[in-house]
Amino acid sequence: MIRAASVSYVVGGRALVDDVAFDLPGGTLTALVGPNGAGKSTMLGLLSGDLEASAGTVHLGDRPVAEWKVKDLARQRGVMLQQQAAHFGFSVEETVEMGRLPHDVDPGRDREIVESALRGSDLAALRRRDVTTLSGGEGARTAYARVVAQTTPVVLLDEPTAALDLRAQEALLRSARAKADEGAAVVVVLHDLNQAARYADRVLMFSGGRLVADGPPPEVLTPPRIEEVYGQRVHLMEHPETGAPVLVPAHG
Amino acid sequence: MLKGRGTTAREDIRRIPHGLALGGGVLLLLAVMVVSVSVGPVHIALGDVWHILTSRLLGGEGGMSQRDASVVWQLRVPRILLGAVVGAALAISGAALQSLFNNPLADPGIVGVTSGASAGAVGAIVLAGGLAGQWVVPLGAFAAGLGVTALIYVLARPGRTTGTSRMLLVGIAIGSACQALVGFFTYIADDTQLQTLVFWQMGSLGRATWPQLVAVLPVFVLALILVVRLSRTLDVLTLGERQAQHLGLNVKLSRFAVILTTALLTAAAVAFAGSIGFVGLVVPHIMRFVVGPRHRALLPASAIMGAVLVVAADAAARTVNPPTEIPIGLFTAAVGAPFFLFLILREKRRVS
Repeated sequence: MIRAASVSYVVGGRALVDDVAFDLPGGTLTALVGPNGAGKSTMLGLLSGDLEASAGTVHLGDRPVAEWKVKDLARQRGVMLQQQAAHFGFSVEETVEMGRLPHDVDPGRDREIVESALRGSDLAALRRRDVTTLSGGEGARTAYARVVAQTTPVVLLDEPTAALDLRAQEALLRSARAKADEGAAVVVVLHDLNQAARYADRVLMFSGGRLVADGPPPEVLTPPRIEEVYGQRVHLMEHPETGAPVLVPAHG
Repeated sequence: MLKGRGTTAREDIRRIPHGLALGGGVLLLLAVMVVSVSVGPVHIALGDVWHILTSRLLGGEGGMSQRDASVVWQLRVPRILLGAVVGAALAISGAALQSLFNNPLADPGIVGVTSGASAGAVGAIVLAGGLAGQWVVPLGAFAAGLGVTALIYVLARPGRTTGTSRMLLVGIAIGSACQALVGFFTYIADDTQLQTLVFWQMGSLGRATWPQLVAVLPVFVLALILVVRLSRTLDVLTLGERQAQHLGLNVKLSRFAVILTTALLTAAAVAFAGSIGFVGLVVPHIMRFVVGPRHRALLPASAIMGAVLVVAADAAARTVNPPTEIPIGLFTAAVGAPFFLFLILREKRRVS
């Protein structure tokens, strides 16, 4: 579904993404992890077609991302950015409805999709709220619901959980997981490695613009590698209920 | 940031249904226009206004005095219609540009039309001197307004998903250059030219004629149709350029279309009425409170309210100190500035 072939992105002589290659099939949730400035958001920008690769190509579906028409591309991939602009008083519902823009109008189906997106992000009670009065988390949930309403086979999420409270974080990732299980290729930039471990099928770890590890969470998220990439020692513990591995930062 | 969950219900959006708002607005506009025909240095009773208009439009003898008939038909009707068109054009441009730039403080001047048109008009007044008929100044203003916008667009070279903000900065730089030009022409102008020039800069409908109205109308109608067709596009642009692109909007093309139509509207308005401030900035704000930010409702509502405001300000300009006319820009600024301040302070209180 998504294929990056030796992709680099160079600005002012500095490679923000350096010769990265991977292939992500539909039906998987992939987490992009790595320290600040590792190139995760730039990578997402390249996948979404916002940025043009300096070298190599990104394929989306059957052709390079640059060859898609803007409107066709919007039926192919939805994107949630970190920052949401809201200067005008559209309602939450109107904002989510904008996700239907790339599709041919079908009032009944559009209504159904928007309703389900609102419910899925726990926004039913906020539907009439002015988006300029929302908190950061409420704004992020609205943006996510808009991406859901866009109903695309590729979903790109840039730190979607950053502004969310604990419960909303879990709800959003469960929803993203469900989209992957329905066949979508979901790519999520995450800082919380435990979230990556629990929800992702695959983890791509970036450092200094390079892809330094690629594989299932238990193989990638090992304490020695994390210490090497992040410069932070961690312990691997056991979840008290499930026995699943949990990463905890070491003291000092 | 920290907000109790119990406050949500009170923060629900309240809007007037837009059919009702538009209907009410049209009635208000008609009322203001009719009253405006009647007032001025020569007061003409409303009944007589009615007779003169119906006899003109439907034929037949009104039996009114020749003087009143000519004041109404040759002077006041064209200037009021021109005022309505100018007000509507400025308000629509303001609304569209605020959404394009994602900035509620944008106004039609932001893409350089107003400063360009000022330089063009002032240049025409000073350089063309005595031979300036009723067309030289408007044409100079119109051409220079569009020319400066084009220059800003070319210099800023906005890209596929970014660059609108760069237009803003280039616009400020070019705007200053235009101001310098205006200053230079003002400096070399003689006394008569100076008077015309000052009057133009503060805005006036005093020279409106039927031929001018006929000249401006096609530009206005064309740009109006284009901009209303852009309603959905403008809605999506308020999410930000990248997000709009993610939803399948061709941002580059849309941006170009919005700038072209608003530049046409503003240049046409400024060419015949001079620079009338605050209408393009304030009216969209008021109408967002009334009908909400969706452009399908906002653009027509802003058009009507802009027309109401300019026609009313023009009536005041004629009536306050007869027979002298006060520049219309003084009224729109005098009413607009405090009102705008009120909106900003209110907004701040709501957010904090």
